[in-house]
Amino acid sequence: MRTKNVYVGNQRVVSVLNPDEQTRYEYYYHTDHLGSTTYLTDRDGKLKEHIEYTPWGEGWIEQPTNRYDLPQYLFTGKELDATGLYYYGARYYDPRISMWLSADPALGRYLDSAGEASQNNYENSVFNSKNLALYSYGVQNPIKYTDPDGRNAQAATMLIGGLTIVCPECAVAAAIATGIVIAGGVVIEYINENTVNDNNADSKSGESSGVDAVGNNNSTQASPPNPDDFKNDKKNDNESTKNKDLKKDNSNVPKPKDFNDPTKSPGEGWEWRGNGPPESGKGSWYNPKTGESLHPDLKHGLPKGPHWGYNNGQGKKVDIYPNGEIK
Amino acid sequence: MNNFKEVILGKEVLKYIRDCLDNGKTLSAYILKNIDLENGEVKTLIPSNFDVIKLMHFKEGGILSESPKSTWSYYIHENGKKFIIKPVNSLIFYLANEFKNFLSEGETQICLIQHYLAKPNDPWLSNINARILTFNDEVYFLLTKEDDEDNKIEKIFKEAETASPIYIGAFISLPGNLAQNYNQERMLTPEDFELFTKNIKKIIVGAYDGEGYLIWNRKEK
Repeated sequence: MRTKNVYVGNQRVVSVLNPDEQTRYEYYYHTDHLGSTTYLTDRDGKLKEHIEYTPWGEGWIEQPTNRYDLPQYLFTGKELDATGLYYYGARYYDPRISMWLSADPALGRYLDSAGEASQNNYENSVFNSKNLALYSYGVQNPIKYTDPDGRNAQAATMLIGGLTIVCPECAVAAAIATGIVIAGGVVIEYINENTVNDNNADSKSGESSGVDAVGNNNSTQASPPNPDDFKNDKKNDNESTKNKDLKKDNSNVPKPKDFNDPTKSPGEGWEWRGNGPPESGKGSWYNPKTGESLHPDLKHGLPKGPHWGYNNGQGKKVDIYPNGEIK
Repeated sequence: MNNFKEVILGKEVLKYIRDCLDNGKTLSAYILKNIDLENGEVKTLIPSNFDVIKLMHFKEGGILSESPKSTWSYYIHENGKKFIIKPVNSLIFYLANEFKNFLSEGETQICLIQHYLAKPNDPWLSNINARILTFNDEVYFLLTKEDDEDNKIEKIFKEAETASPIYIGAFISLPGNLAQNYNQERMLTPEDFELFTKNIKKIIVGAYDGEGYLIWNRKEK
């Protein structure tokens, strides 16, 4: 399968599968401060995959859609291959044992400069004990450090609005910034050719990370959240197929006149009430005869995404989501 | 069956609570004016296996399992687009238990829930379970020990909820027999709000897009 990757600086932001064909798919990466893919969305902003990692990069929660060809650029943006290893350039990394599979290739350089290093270059010498941990990843601090090519650990950085920010100790700040990495910088495009074997792709999304093919975590190392609690993440999965068996609504739930226009009343007798106009979202359409209310929540973030909330005034609450065109 | 756990939240939650109160009505304004929220502790109920990273995303939903697909339905809009309707679960039983325990402590306890959208003359209010207190154009649902009956508290909660994410309530412990002054439907005065806020023990704020609730507890001196 031919894949075109789009970068901002060193950060992969989009993968385009089959770029020149009708079966073209675009996947947008939403990364954390290490560059690890945490969410993958399509060109419509629909969630295609949600991944969380242990600090050392092993998959902890993986919620793929049923597409087999999702890109596998995962922990620190590196590709997880069919062997369950990440290829960093100079060497392979195994997230399950949290170690490189080969020794640090920089050792020779450290030894060559040993004499002078002790005087002038302690950091890059054999006298610095961390340099003798030849198989350890990220100076044993994988939350703060990455190793872009397997040769040298460095503090993680991320690009925000054209500024490069050196990773703070706390990952939370970076998580807040997730999603705006594309906001600045120069876009550089190039194409790499990947041949993806369908069977391999299937196994990647399952066995290699202790997660089975339907997204259930079968790892015995951690106590992961119940995937059921994240089912919302999957609501956009190939919806036209998944939702075929739904029953047609025959309730009295009022329907928005225009899903994207909160200013339109859902019907006669309804009033807008709240602390701001409909565009502000600070209020709801309300029926004073019945106590029903309908609230446009059109800026709601993932995983739920934009929706309208409805309450019938007697405890019945539903959300209304768009599901695409009917031909 | 899901298991739940109660968790104490850090001070970061106070910003969300203040934002909600900012968008509230007169009761909220008096709370902001008279109560030092720092002098309290906020707790909430979440599924035992809920991702703690998401715990502080108070505006986002998804803390509870999505309703079974068999309960979903769809409709097709006149523009040809399809929409899915999904029931929303909530932890209202948690809130109901909290209120029930509070009210059972005696005749001095009352609870007020602000209805974010209703006005005193709205026709539907004549058919509800709750007793109503009003202030100008605002409606508050009142609960006292009298309401401590099977399911009645939960019914009143449901009536007080709207589709808007703003949901604010207060647990008040009035001195002496002042609580008797609020047994019947009546119009409130600014002095009533001063009295309420002085004696508030807990504040309820809706969270997680209608699925959960935060409970602020005043620290006893």
